Formats: sequence, C-alpha cells, structure tokens
Amino acid sequence: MIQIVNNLLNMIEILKMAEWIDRYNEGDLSTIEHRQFSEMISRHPVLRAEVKLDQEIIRMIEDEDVLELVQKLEKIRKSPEKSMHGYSFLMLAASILALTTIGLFTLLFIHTRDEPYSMMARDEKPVPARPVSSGKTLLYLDLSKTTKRISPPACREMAKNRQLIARYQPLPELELLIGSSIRADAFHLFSPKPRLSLPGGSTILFQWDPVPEISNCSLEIIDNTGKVLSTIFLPNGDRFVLDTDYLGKGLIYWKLIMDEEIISLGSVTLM
Amino acid sequence: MVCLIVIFQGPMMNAQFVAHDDSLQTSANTDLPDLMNRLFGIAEGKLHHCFFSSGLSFYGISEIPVIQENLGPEEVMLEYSLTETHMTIFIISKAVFSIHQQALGPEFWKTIAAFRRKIRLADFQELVSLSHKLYLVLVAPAKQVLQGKKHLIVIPGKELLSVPFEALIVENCMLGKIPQFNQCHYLILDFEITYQFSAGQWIEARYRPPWSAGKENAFPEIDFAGFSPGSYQNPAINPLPFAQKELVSIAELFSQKGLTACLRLEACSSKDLFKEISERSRIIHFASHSHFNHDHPEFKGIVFWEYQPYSGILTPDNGILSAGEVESLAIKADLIVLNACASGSVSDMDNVRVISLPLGFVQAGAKNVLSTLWNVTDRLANEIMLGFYRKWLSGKTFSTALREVKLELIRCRETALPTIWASYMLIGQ
Repeated sequence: MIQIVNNLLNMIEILKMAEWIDRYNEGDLSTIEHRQFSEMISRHPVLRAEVKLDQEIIRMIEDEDVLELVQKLEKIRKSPEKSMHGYSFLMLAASILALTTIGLFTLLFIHTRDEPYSMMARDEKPVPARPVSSGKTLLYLDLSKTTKRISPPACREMAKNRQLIARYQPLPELELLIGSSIRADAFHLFSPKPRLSLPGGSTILFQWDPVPEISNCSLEIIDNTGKVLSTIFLPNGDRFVLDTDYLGKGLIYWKLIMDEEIISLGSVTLM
Repeated sequence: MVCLIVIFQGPMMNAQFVAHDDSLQTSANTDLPDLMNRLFGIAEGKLHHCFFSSGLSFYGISEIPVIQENLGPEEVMLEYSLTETHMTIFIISKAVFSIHQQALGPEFWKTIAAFRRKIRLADFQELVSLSHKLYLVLVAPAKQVLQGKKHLIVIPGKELLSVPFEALIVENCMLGKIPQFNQCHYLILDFEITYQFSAGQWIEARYRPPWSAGKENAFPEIDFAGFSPGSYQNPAINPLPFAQKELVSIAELFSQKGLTACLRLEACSSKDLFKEISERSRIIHFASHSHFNHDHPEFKGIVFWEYQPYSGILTPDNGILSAGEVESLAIKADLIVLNACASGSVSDMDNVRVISLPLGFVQAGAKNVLSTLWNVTDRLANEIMLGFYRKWLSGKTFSTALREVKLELIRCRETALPTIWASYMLIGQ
C-alpha cells in the first residue's frame, strides 16, 4: 500500500515537472517563472537533459516525414548522452501521455457546456482568476524513478495528441468577455449561444434583431492564440450563416463588430 | 524630425532654454516672448492662439505660474496640442515648465488609429508594440520631469481624448507567441493618471466652492444616486441584469458606512427624476445603455426608461440624456459615473466643437466624471465599479481607487487585457 502511494506521489511530481518543461519550451512561462526555472535548469544536469530532449521532440514533431521522425527518435534514444537518461525519457513520455488524457477530458468537458462561463459568480468580487505566479514553488523531478521504455510510435502519437490539445486550449484573455451583454443600445443577438460545441464543418447561424441603423458590421474569426483567421463583412439584414468547413478542428472565437466596437463575443469548439 | 525642448524653471522671465535644434540654440535667461517668437516664428500677439487654441484649453502663458502653484509636489501636467504635422507637449510640474515639440508623420496617425482599434476590439496582434511606440512619442519626452512623480494630469486635446494613457507600455512585454498582458509594464504601474479637458477647467474646479459654502443646498441630501432602466420589463431596452445588481450592491456599501443612497430603477429611472435630484447628490451613477446616432451625434447620450429606439427624429423627450442637455443643468456632484458603453467617447460636430458627455457634465459643474472609452460588458462593468466603490469608501481618493482596481485586474491573466480595464477614464481632480 505504501509502495502504491509512493509511486502515485512520484507520478504526480513528474507530471507537474513535465508541465513546467512543456511551458518552458513553448514560451508560456511568465518572467518570474522563466527565471526560476532557468536557474533550476542550470543547477540540475538531469533536468537540463530533459528540457533539451523535449525541445528535440518538439522540433521533430514539426517534421512531416514519419520515417525520419522514427529514425531521429531512435537515434536520440541510442545516443550515449541520452542513454544515461533513458529512464527519464520514458517518464517524460509517460507523463505527457497522462497529461494529454487528463487535459483532453477536462477540455472536452468544459467546452461541451452551453451555459455562460461560470468563473465569475454573479455576486462575487471581480478578479477571480489565477494568482500571480511569483509565489509558485517549482517541484523537483526525480529521474531515477522511471521503470519502462516507450516506443517511438507511441511518442509520436503523444505528440499528435499534444498538438490536438493545444488547439482546444482556451485563451484566458478572451474568456471573460464571452457571453455578457454590452451596455450599448446596439442590436440584440439571438443566435448563436455564446459557447457552442459542434462537429467540424458545421454551419453557425448568426441572427439578430433587425435594426435600421446597423452599419459597418463585421464578423471576425480568431483562433485560440488570438490570431485573426478571417474577417467577414456582414450584409444588411438580420442573419448570416458561417460555414466552418475551412476552419479545421479546435477552439475558435468570434467577434461581432459594429462601428469599430465589439458588440458580442463568443466561442465555438469544433470537434 | 525637429525636436524642441524648452524648459522654464522658476520665475517665467528667467527661462532656461534647451533646444534640440541648432537653429534655435540660445542662452539662459532668454526673454520669453522673444523666445516664443523665435521658436514658432509668429508674432507675440498670436502666442496664446498658437499655444492654447486646441479647442479645449483656454489658459494663457501668464497663467502657468498659477498652474504651478496649484500642482502638488508629486504631480505633473502634460498638455498635448496636435496638428496634422506637429505635436507640442507642455510639461508642467511645480518647479519646471518645458515645451517639447516634434514633427508628426502619417505613421504617427496610423499608429494612433491602429492602437485605438486594437485595444477596443481585443485584438492581440501588435497591440504591445503599438502601445510602446505611442509611449515613446507621447510620454517618453517628459521622462526627465516625471522622475519621482506619482500623479499625471493629462490634457490630451481632442485628438488624443480616446487614447488611454494608462495602457501605454513603458517596456515591451512580448514573451512567446501571445503577449503576457499581466507582465507588461504599463504607465499606470508608475502613475496615477487623471484627465482634464483644459488646464483652465482644472484650476477652476480647484477654486470651486465646496458643498458647505453655498447658501442653499449647503450639504448634499443624497450621497449616492443611482439610475438604471435596463430590465426585462421594458421591451425598448435590452436587459442589463448586472446593472441593477451593481446599484443595489453599491447602495448597500454606502448604507454600511451610514451614507444615504437613492436608487432609481426601472420606470423610476426617468430623466425628469434625474434632473430633480441632480443638484442634491454627491455622487450620481448611471448603469445603463449608451445611445449612438452617427447622423446626429448631438443626440448621443445615456438611456433612460422613456427611451424609444429608432422612432424617427429624436426629440428632447426621447429618453436620452445628451451632452447638450447636461450642460444646461446645475450639478454640484463630486463624481458622475457613466457606466455605459463608450460614454466618454468624443464626437466631432465640426472642426471647432466637440460633443462629449463628460465635458457636458464638467461644464455643468461636476468635479469628476468617470466614463468609458469603448464598449464594456454588463458583467465586468458591474465588477469593476463594485471594486472602485469599495476602495473609495475605505478612504481612497477617486483616482487612487480606480488605479488600484485596474492594478488588481492587470495582475490576473484573465483580466489583464487592456480592453477590459483601460476603458475607464477619470476626468477631474
């Protein structure tokens, strides 16, 4: 029993460290976190090797040639330097796989809900959200505790999953702007709901109260990194149908803009 | 690019002049009118016109010592005067008066337009770099005078009235693909920032008699008067569920402090009732919709219960409180809060006049006006105002309370986007 608990604790610790490595390599750490983590890397050679390995995996994932990917992974696995950390590679892979699974389920759960974002309860103080990261303590990765090897195809699968997950990551900066009405007597939007989950390639109906003064109205589609994918100028009338065929799968945000002001903002998860 | 910096220290006639233009090098103790003539190449008689006819400001060179006298040791006033090709910044502190002039190219106007658009549309692309570029042009020239100061009084002029100086970025904060908006070094981190329409109005407001000095209405009968017509009961008005919650929660905060609060909700939120109590209230708070009319900007205003949208030609009884209507009122309020979309936006009537609801309230006698530069969501507008009043009721000034709320929002990634917090601007003391 004690052994099981110990293993579980070790696994949790490793999962957390894998997350830190991912965030470090993807440039998602804050300044303070980045500094702290860089210091840790400089102090711990094992961690340094893990970070480097993760960087190489990321680089390889971008490579389209599968055979080359396998060869490269094999090469890394067999190289003398890396062989010292074979176990660590295994644990990193395992932790990413576990993260991927947990994350996928969490995201799917969040984004299949239709009700408005519940982060800010109506009667609560403003500024919910996560605390400043300066006080965050970093965990140490004990790389000696790994026990299994993982095959390159499995690693590739994990990488694919990770890329897939990244497309469903919400953009925190926009989440609180979703769904709430604005304090301007612009038009009233009936459809779509602020948060939607649809199969990829579906159409989305935008329908509003017809008003005579509508002018300069456009629909902006952005991805979950804030990049504008398209801007569609809306015709006069009271409806518009958006075809999501060209958008691919993932989380997208839409902004309805009138006279250079946002009048409505929502998100759609294309499954 | 021509760049001129003139620094006057102490008595005006013993001016110290620093020119970053070889043709204008001169010695200390230059005679002021002569200096101005050489600087701008115009006759002495036109100096006032040249400097202070931006359409909003109406003080003269002779009044600068008065301004300096009224400024606190930690305050700096920045007044901007822009033409299509030049910008002049008047930098005034208690001990220093300097003038910075520089040429403006089309690039500057493009940057301003792009920044305004991106910040109000929550568009991440290049927002950080645009904001930093504007900081370098608008604020960095005053860096030397700003050292050790804590409060900026910005007189932006017509062209910059919709630029939130708080959101200007002192240092670039791009880390990775997405800007870390909670890590940016915004100007608000260094300064408390308030706005004024003109230095003259700022001085006038300073000398305005307090409540107790009048013979009638010696004290405000109502500490907080709140108006919100937005509900599900009036089909003409889109519901604002958080607007009424906002007023009720604020009223509770006031009553906890033993202060009087008067709420006018639903059908009681009429324009007539507002006019009736406007002279007797210390704080007047609107949690409502804004109405925009591009063909008739003079009818832009705050929506009351009587509002009938799209009913043809607008009349004074249309349920909209417009800037023109406000100007004719006698308001003694310490604070007017216009918690509606883009309530502080400025419309150009012609090249001379501007229409602005906050300006109307200031001209009617309000000491401070808190308004918004772009659209705000019902839910966040409610949260921000609750935070603001909590802080003010704990003894902070209006500007400190607003700054602290904004800093709290900046600290969290979910609310750090300037679109959320920089919309609110405080005009006044």
